[in-house]
Amino acid sequence: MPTLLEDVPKHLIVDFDIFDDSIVETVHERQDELRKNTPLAYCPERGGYWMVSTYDDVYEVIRNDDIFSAAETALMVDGTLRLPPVHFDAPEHGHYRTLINPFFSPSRIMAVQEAIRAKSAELVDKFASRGSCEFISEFAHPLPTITFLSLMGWPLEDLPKLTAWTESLIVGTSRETEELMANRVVTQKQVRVYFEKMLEERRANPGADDVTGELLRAKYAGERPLTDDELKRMFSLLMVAGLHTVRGIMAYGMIYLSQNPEERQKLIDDPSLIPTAVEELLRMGVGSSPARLVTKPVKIQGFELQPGDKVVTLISAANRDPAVFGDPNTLEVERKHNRHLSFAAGRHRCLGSNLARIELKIALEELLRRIPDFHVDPDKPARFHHSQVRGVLELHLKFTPEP
Amino acid sequence: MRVRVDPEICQGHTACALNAPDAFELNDANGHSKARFSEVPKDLEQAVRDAAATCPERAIILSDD
Repeated sequence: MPTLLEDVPKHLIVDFDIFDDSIVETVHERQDELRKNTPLAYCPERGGYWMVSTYDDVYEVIRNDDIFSAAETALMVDGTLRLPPVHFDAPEHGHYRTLINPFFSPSRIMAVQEAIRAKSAELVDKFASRGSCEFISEFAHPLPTITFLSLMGWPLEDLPKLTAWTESLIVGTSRETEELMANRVVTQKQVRVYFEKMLEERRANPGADDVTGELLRAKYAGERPLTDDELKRMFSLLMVAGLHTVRGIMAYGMIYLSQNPEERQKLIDDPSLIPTAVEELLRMGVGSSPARLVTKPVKIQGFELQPGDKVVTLISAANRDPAVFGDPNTLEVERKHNRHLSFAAGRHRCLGSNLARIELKIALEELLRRIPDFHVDPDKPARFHHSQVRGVLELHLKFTPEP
Repeated sequence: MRVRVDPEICQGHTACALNAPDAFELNDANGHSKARFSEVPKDLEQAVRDAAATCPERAIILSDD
């Protein structure tokens, strides 16, 4: 029985809702307060959910699937839309995960590096001599999306469709209007039809050596092929997981670097520091806050949560916990011992982490090489979105045009 | 100094290989890590300590003997 509102101690109830767009400007200050004053906090919105914000508590909740089930990582997702493997616990989780691990392995990702670099260069070519760009539509969105489409073996001309669908599914707002919800239902149907058609086409012409082809040949638990339903759900997950996340880190990365020109200069002078810088951008820029469902009574910060309670892990708060990171709100491109939780921890460690790192590394190398003095355009404010995956909708940059 | 990666705890973050590529090798099926040796060469000691401190799972076990 989940904890009822009337049983939540008043001092644990906070006026902070991760789905609320209005928190985006002050989210880190608010989370710092939360971590200090209410490390276990309750938000009465959306049916009520708990939040943890210390590194240790976030680490425990995200990893301990004996008590904290992944069956509800996304609060807004209706139970019937469980996407394998993210919304499953052991042993099903492992059976699904094993099938897709190899596609995102270190060597597979190495193999697509040159294509990512070529695409980055091509995207920068289009705006480098203009002296300005809208970074999201012209770089941070297309790069991960096109990389993803190639990896999956899906047609590149489907980029606009995928863009529209992921916007609808991911970009939640506090104004969860009937219209937005209806739009989401329509999108889910369109996505389903798209994948159904793809499966039909692939079964008629099998043999492609890409993720889609391999999944069609895969055997769940070594015993049986995946059902069409499972395949569609896995495709949906792969589609939403790698796009807004990477784009958000890229965009925040550009903002942080333009706010910290001395740190940026270190990377321009010595590009071998870029991989370490990527870890720091991941630490500070992460936008995901996965949820878990309590399955056994458990004490957090002295209060006992009940089975059925939902707990949101504020990863970005854990990543700025002063107990773990010195000067946590300061960008330090050479930060050591950076054990950030941006890719989570435990069995749900982000499948795409190697791909995300390579995309970020190559993007930074190209951008710092071509437009090193970029800065956020003061006359065109950036726009952000919140919800369980915080990110950037619009970001205007200016820089010295390439001759 | 001796090093080993606990295979039950490792989740394939690859932070170790980012810190000390000469000391850790990654399994291609799932990105999980294995130490290339159990006795750490002196010149890699700091990098291996850094790797252990950066592992989010704390899967790297060091013993000074």
